[in-house]
Formats: sequence, structure tokens, C-alpha cells
Amino acid sequence: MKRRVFIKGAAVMTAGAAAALNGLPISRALAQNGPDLAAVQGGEPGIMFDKAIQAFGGMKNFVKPNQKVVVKPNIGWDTPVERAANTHPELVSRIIKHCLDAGAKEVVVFDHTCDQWKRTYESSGIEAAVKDAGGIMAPGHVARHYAEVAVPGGKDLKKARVHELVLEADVFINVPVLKHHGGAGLTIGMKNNMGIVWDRGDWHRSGLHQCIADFSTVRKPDLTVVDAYRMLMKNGPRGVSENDTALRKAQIISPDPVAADAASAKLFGIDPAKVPYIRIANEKGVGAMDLSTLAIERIRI
Amino acid sequence: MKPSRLFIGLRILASTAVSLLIILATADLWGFLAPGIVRVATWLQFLPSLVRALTAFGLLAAGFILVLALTLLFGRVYCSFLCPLGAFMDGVIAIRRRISKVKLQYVKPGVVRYFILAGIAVSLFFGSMHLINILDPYSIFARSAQALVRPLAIGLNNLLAQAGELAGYYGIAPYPFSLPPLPVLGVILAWLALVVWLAAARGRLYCNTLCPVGAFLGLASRFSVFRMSMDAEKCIQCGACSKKCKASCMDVENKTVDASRCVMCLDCLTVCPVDAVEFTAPSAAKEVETDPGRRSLLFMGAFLLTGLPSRSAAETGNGYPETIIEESLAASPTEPLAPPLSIKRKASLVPPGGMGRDHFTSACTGCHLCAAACPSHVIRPELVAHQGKGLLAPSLSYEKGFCNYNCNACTMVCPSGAILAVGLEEKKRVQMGRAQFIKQNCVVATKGTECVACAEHCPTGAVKIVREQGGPGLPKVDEDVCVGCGACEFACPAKPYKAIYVKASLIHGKALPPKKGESVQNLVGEDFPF
Ligand code: SF4
Ligand code: SF4
Repeated sequence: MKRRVFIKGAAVMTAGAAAALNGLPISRALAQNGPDLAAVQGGEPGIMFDKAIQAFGGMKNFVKPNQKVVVKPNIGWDTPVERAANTHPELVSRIIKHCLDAGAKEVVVFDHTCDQWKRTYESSGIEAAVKDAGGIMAPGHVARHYAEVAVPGGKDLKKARVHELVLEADVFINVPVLKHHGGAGLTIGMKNNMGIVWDRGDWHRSGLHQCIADFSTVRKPDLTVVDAYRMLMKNGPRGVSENDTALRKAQIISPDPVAADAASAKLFGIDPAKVPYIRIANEKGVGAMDLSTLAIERIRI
Repeated sequence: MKPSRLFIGLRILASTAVSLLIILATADLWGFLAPGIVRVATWLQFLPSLVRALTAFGLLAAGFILVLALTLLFGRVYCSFLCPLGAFMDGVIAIRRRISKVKLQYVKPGVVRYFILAGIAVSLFFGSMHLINILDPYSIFARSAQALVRPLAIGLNNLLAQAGELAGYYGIAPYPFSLPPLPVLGVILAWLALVVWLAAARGRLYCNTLCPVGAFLGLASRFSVFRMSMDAEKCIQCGACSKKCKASCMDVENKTVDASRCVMCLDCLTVCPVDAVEFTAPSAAKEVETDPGRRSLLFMGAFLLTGLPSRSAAETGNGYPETIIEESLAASPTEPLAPPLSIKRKASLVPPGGMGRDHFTSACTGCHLCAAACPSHVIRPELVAHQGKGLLAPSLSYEKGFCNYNCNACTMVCPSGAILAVGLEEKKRVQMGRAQFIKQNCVVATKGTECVACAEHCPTGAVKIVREQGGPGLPKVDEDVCVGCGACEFACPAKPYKAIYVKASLIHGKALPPKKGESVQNLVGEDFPF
């Protein structure tokens, strides 16, 4: 497994770096005629995803038959669904179903959790949802699963240890939950990437925002699906009680990770330019923060 | 088949089941066993059960009464049917017998065991559990399994996990491999070696010299209703029974059996060629064998029973007393920044339900079942971690993890009541310590960059980020809400010293509930803001 990872990892890196240099999102080619971003609201997580992915011509534009897919929700905390600290399990299972329908060979789900991983997988409801949908729940707590990758475009972050499943995957779908974060302001897609990294303590030590933005040049997700069904509005990223959450029933999906984060920030009520990591990633050319330049499909259910 | 063979079968079955359950309790990485099943096995363990009844007032949990009653009826059946270390020794003896002939024979009763009982009584009087912890057979067995069998299980599990991964199967999760710290491992191995050697050379000698449970139950079995005896008329003094007897208690010369040392293995019943050994209620006419110091020994037994509560009841009390905290280490925030400050924890951290150092160390017998049960791997076996108290009593370490807010696993397994059962909601309020912030170590203060790792991990909202006009935020701890779980300490990336750590509360307190705050308005139906 490891050997393949290194070859693959190197390939991914160069692809990522090249794409970062010319500012072209990797999977832009895939979704040529679709919108840049789709925003849905008013439905349950599953239905909203059905509609959103339809706007891009279906999952088959992202997942080809026999490909390996990694779906990375936020499964950080040992809290139940109503606390909105983790991605909604229904959304995760629906994404897996679409991938399998598109012919994916396997769909693997994991997160490098903050709380005890086993309990977190369980109480988030995600483990059960993944198994139900025919996906594979993989552990994210094992150090040897993480391989070191250089961050050529990094200012403060020069290298990171990334989970080999992501490095190996043909398709990487990032499924963050949109929520308040005491330090990063907001946690959305690029922040959710910290869950595919082993040594994230370094990020906290050397400047969180710059590191998040630096890392976004390494392995850009092919698709970012932001869960804003229920939003944690304060005390993030973990939340203290249900009082911290607001039902919003929305979802944002985009192949451009910066656009997805920018639109989500707006949805949350924050100017994306005020979230340092979004601004820096925009400057680095990882994606587009200025929503007025994008083709946005707005869907109301 | 003789009925005695049936009972021997039952003995092997029961003792094997108990031992296996305890081994599984330490090595069950996969959650096959319901905790309740393990409790059946540990509930009947004499010493932890006695300690539990005496220190935690939980007579409900007093399996020892059942054992005592059984002893008064049938003698030391605990030693052959329920004691896992006894079963282990029987295994060693059986193997030894296969390898070569062992010569066991009757020996005169010794007094070492009573000195040990006396020693325990005296040391309990001075508040020390050291002797009990090192000698209790159940605890020896359980901690040996935790230290030696569990790592094997982890190794096996990880091999399987790795093989599975190659095939793209992730159903088996790898486990972090860990051994107890070296001093603990050393004690465990040394003691195990002693037990194996004694068993191989002299049968159940451990049980009749060093084991406090053996000595105590031996006192009780002098009064047992049924017991082994030799029919003086039938006995031809061939010595078969005394050669078989693991406890060396068959005195063929005088045709008597020393009930205080008989471990009720029933082997003698099967070897007597003339069926002179019988298990009966002795007739009133037969004088019960006495030895000189008996009266004073009984007195000592009673003393032992009172030794424990007289101390712990007063010291621990019921419920959660006022929190006592040591002097604060955290320097007050000064400008300019002082050099980094190393953290020296003065008091030891005790698992939730342990009520604080003194209760915990007065009841912990060092079986390490809690360490095996903790999914966060923060309960670490230690030799002496509690300022000289509690030999082999574990303590919490936040180096590799933190106590999971949503977990009370350890409180459900402790057989001796050192960790009392606490419901999940109650556990979320148990304050094991209070987080202390050391500004001069903090990344935000030293480098001026955003960090928030501590606040991010805090489950109670006790750590808040205080921000002045958009600058990077410094953490601030609300100590009353903090439960001392160590999430912040574990997450803090500051080097060389952490900037936030948990200062142990000598007596556990009760944290204020997390501040819920105003409930947020739902936002369904608002239009897209872009
Ligand atoms: S309550 Fe805490 S210390 Fe006890 S088992 Fe759970 S995580 Fe471990
Ligand atoms: S402040 Fe630290 S120790 Fe206290 S509850 Fe929060 S994370 Fe746990």
C-alpha cells in the first residue's frame, strides 16, 4: 500500500502544484458546462444533494466507473447529530450512493477525529450511515497511514503527513459542515482538510490560517459539498449545547474549494475576505473568492 | 463415575470460566463482552469485593458475603472454584506433573500467613494498601493479563488489520500498542515468576503462606459445616492423598486434614484406594483441631474488618465535598513575557468516579481493569503515582489522549469501588482537576499567530478565546466549568512546555454545568445572500 502511495502522492503533488500555479481547479475540466457553484435550500440533506449534483450533470461527471473515491466528512466530535458539530450522516450516505451509482469501485470514508475516534464514528451517526449506503468506514487514527508530502506552494507549511487513502484516491470529495470556529472564524472546506493530516498540531503552532491556505494547494478536493442543514452558530467547532445551533436547511456544492468556502461564509453571515484562510487561498490562486465572477445555480425546494 | 469427579469437572469449569472472563476483560479490544458479564466474575472476587463493601458502603456489591457464606459451609471453595490465580497455579501444577514427578507431602502448618494478615491489619491502620495490592491473587492475575495478554491481543489484532488493509478491508481497526511502564512491568513479571516457581515446586504454597485471602478464608473454614476428613477406620495410611494434595494439608500419620489450608480442590477424593477420604459434616463428638494462637487470630480478623472503614469512611465521606486545590502554578500574566515555565504536577490525576486521591488509593487494589477499559488510553498503570499512596494504582496521563467527555467506561468495571460507578450525565460534571493557563508558554503570546487548539477541544466551553479587536485570541479558563478532562492540555501544541494543563483536584469536585447561552434563531427560509 505504502509503495503505491508514494508514486501516486508524487503525481498528485505535481498535478496539484501545477494547477495551483495556473489557477485552474483540477476538476474544472470535468464539469465543463455546469455552473461554478450550486446552492440549494429548503429540503432535507439527501434531497438537496440530489438537486445540487443534478445541476452539475450528475455524479458521473466527477466519478468514472471503477474509480476509488474518498469522501471526507467532518467527524471531529463525539456528539449527536442535533449538535451539528459533525457533517449530517444523511448527506454522507447520499453522496456515497451517487458515487456507487456512477460506478465507483469503492467509496471510503474517514476522518482524523479530535475526540476518541471509535465513539465519534458511532455517535455522529456517520459510521452507520456509511455502512448502510455501501461505503467503507476506514480508521483515521493510525499514524502509519499518513505519508509525508511536500507543500511546494507553502509559505509557513512546507510539508505535511497526509492520509494515504486520500493520496491514493482517484476522486476526493470534501464534505465539511459549516460552523462557527473560535479560532479560524469559520470552519468550512479548507479547514476540514485538517482531518486528512496527521501532524496538525504544527499548524496551530505555526499559524493556523496560513497553514490552512498553504495546504489547500496540495490536494484540492474534486468536489466540495458544504453541509449547512443545521449550523453551529457559536461555541464552535464543538459547541456546548443545541442552543448553539440554527436550522438553515441549505447546502453548497462546488468543484472550486475557495468558491465553496466563500459562498458558505456569506451564508453564515460573514464576509469571506474577513476569513484570512479564504483570502490567502484566493490570493494563491487556489480558487475564486469573488462570487460575482462565478456562474451560480440557486435552487429552492 | 464418582460424584467427586463431577465436582472436579465443575471446579475446572468454574475456575476456567472466571479466569477467561477476566483475561477477556483486559484483552477484549473488539467489545465482544458485555461489561455486565465481566462483572459477574469480578463481583465474586473476595478481596476487591470486601474492600468495596468497606470503603464505598456498597453492601449491594458485596459478593464477598456470598464467598464467606460458601466458606462457612464448604471450606475454601473460593480458592479452587473462583480464584483466577488459583486456577493459574493449578494449570502450572498440572503442567509440572506432566513434565516430571513432583513430590508433594504433608507439611506442618506455618504461621507466615498470620503474620501477613497482621501486617495487613497494621498497614491498613496506617492507611496503606501496599501489602494488599501486592498480594491479592485476583489483582495479580488481572494486572498480569492486562500487561501480558492484552499486548498479545493488540499485536494479533494489528496483524489482522494490516492484512485486511492490503485487501482493502478496514473492518479491523489497529490499536495503539502499549506496555505498562517498566517498573510496573518489572513487578508484575517478578511476582508472576515467584507464583510459577512456588506452584511448580510446592503446589499451592502461595495460597497458604503469602495469600491474604487464603489466610482469611482459612480462618473461616475452621468453622465450616462440611469439610474433608479421613475415616480413621478405613484409612490404611498409604499416603496417596498426601502425595496428591496441592495444599500439603493431608496429615496421614495422624489421619487428620488441616481444614484451614485445604483449598477444596477435591483431588484427594479420587485417589484414595479405600475411599477413606470423605467430604462430610464432622460429628459433634469430633473435636475440631485447634492451634494455640487461634483466639488471637480471630481477633485479628475482626480487627482487619474494622481497619478499613475506620479510616476511609472518615476521610472520603459520601458525595462530593468541597474542592481542595493545591497552590496555583500558573504565573499571573505579566508584561513582558517571562521565559517558558515547565509544568510540574504536584498531585496525581485520578479517574472520574475515583472521588479524589485519598478515596481512590484507599480502595484501589491495582488490578488495572480500568486501564484496559479506557477507550482513550489515558489511564496508565503506575507503581507509585500518588505521592507514596496506592502501590500499583493507576493514574491519568494526558500525554497521548484525554478523558472522553462522553464516556464513563472505567467507572463501570472497577470491582473494588476505587472508581465508583457514575452515570454518564453525572460523570460529565465530575471535576478531576482544573485547567490552568500559562500565558508565557502560549503560542499566541509568543508568536502572535492564531492557535485556539485548546478552546477547540474543550467539551464544556470552559476555555474561551478572548480577542481584542480582531487580533489573535488568547484562551481564558472558567475553572468552575472545567472538568479536568485534559482535552486542552493534550491539544496544546506549545513547545517546549504546554501552555495549558490540568491541575489535579485532591478531592474531586462538581463542575458547574456548561453555560448553554441563549438559543440561536433558526434561519430556514432566508434567501441566499449571494
Ligand atoms: S471516563 Fe475518561 S478515563 Fe474513564 S474510561 Fe472513559 S475516557 Fe477513560
Ligand atoms: S478547560 Fe480543558 S480540562 Fe477543562 S473541560 Fe475544557 S478541555 Fe477539559
